[in-house]
Amino acid sequence: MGISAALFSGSKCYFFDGARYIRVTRGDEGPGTVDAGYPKPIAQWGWPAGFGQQGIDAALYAGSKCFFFDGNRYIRVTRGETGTGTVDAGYPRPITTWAWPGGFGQSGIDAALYSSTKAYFFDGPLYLRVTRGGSEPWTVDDGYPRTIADVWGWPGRFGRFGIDAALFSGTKCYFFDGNRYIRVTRGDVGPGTVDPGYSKRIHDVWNWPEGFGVGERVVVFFKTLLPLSAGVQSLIDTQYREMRRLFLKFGIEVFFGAVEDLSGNADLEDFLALDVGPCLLGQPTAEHQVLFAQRTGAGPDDLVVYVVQTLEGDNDSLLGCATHPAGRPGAAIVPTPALWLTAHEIGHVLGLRHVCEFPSDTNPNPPTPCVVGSTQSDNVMFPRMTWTRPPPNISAAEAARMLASSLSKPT
Amino acid sequence: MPRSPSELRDQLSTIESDDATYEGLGRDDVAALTPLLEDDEGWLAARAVHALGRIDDPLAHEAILAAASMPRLEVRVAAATEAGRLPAELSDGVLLELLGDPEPAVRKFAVRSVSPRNGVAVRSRVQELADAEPNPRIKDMAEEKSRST
Repeated sequence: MGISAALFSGSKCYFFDGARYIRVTRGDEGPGTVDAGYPKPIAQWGWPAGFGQQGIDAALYAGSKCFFFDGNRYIRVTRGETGTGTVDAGYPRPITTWAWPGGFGQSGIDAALYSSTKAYFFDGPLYLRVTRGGSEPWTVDDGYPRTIADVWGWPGRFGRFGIDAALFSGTKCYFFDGNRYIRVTRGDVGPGTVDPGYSKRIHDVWNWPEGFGVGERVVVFFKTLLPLSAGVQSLIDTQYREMRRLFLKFGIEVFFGAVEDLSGNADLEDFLALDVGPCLLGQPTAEHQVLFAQRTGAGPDDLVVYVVQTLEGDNDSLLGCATHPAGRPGAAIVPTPALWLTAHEIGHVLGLRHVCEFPSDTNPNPPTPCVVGSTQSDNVMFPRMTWTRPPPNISAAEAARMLASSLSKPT
Repeated sequence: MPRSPSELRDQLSTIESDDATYEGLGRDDVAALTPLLEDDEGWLAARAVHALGRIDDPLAHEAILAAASMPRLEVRVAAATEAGRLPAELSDGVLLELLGDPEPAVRKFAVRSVSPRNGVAVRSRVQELADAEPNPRIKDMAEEKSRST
């Protein structure tokens, strides 16, 4: 586990980990010193109700202004090097205000980087560069977004699916991906050069307070019964990216295991339509038993998500089902545009239940009836995929339950 | 009062469906549900088949019959499941089509839906699958179904 955002602020910098943050005094290089009294609750920033309460995705220094990003909204804050500053009038605003091209950042971004006259925004494997000037939105430079892997030259698997945070630091920049980080020497533009010896483990270097930037991790593999076309790959990448971004805010880092194309396996061909029976936890069907035995590469506690064409229950089709045989944790999903379908199912696997139920003839008075538009429909465990203010949320109690799952492990 | 297309979409978007997914749907909704069989999103098309299967109306039945020959696998699978709710004669029509489907996944759910109320032609087709189906899981299901029907 690492951090979800970092903010350059002159001689100070700020790191955000879920609902807490620290302030660090430092120069261009080195870990600096965590200021006394930190970590502090993120609530101290005094942001508008509902914004960043449980964490933010990204922060961007821009001189006397700072920007903070939470899902598909952001705020602009006027502040000095220290202190929380004042949220400018009219914020939060929708992230679509930035008018990024091609769906970039539609549901949020992972990181933002100040770079003098330029700024960089990161969304999964893509990034874009803008030329700053006046009030946002700033001008997106020609040719963006581009793919991180095509340009930045980061080592190994670092940032393969995106990064969690970026920090401007004078002649250096720092990029954070899970529990590792790299330091890069660069100018205002271009990828620069990764300094020798990087990547490194965050906690070997940064001397953050006990427990800060430390959480649990789960590893998720994807196995597809559909041929691994560009569309299916995109589905998997998107589901993974949104789940990782959501869970990271709440102290759970999702690692990508691998993708396996099972479509050529004749023994599994009829599982394109998987019989999930009643889809109740602890009641796997015979088909669950066979399909979920396909765990090549996954450890006993790793989670495997099977992508099928359709899930057929006893009387109906399902979009996802977290039922799995004992000792073979995982879930099955079908292709949908619901960005947090896998997060919902993995939430079930890690112990979460629906936040509410819709009444029906057979269940006219559920104990917690669903109210569309309430905090229930903002929660990833809302029973429908019509989350009202995406990206959805996770409550503190739910995060604690997931962290306590035997399937999540210390990072 | 019929639901609007967006209301239907919301109601049918339950991730793990339950009785509430289809609560209150009736004859007034058939006209809005039928075009969903050809919606770009396969999950919604399949859900529409299941919704129509819960409405006792000739137009809904007709739509399920049409779904049995639609190109998308998930729609045909849903039609196979809903065949169990249709009047026997219509059920036979849907199942005869789907027991011979080129996709094993569809044949599997068609076999599952066969019941003693289905006619001789359907049961003969199940027996053929019991004798010659190349997929061993479906063959086993067909053998079991032949014994029980």
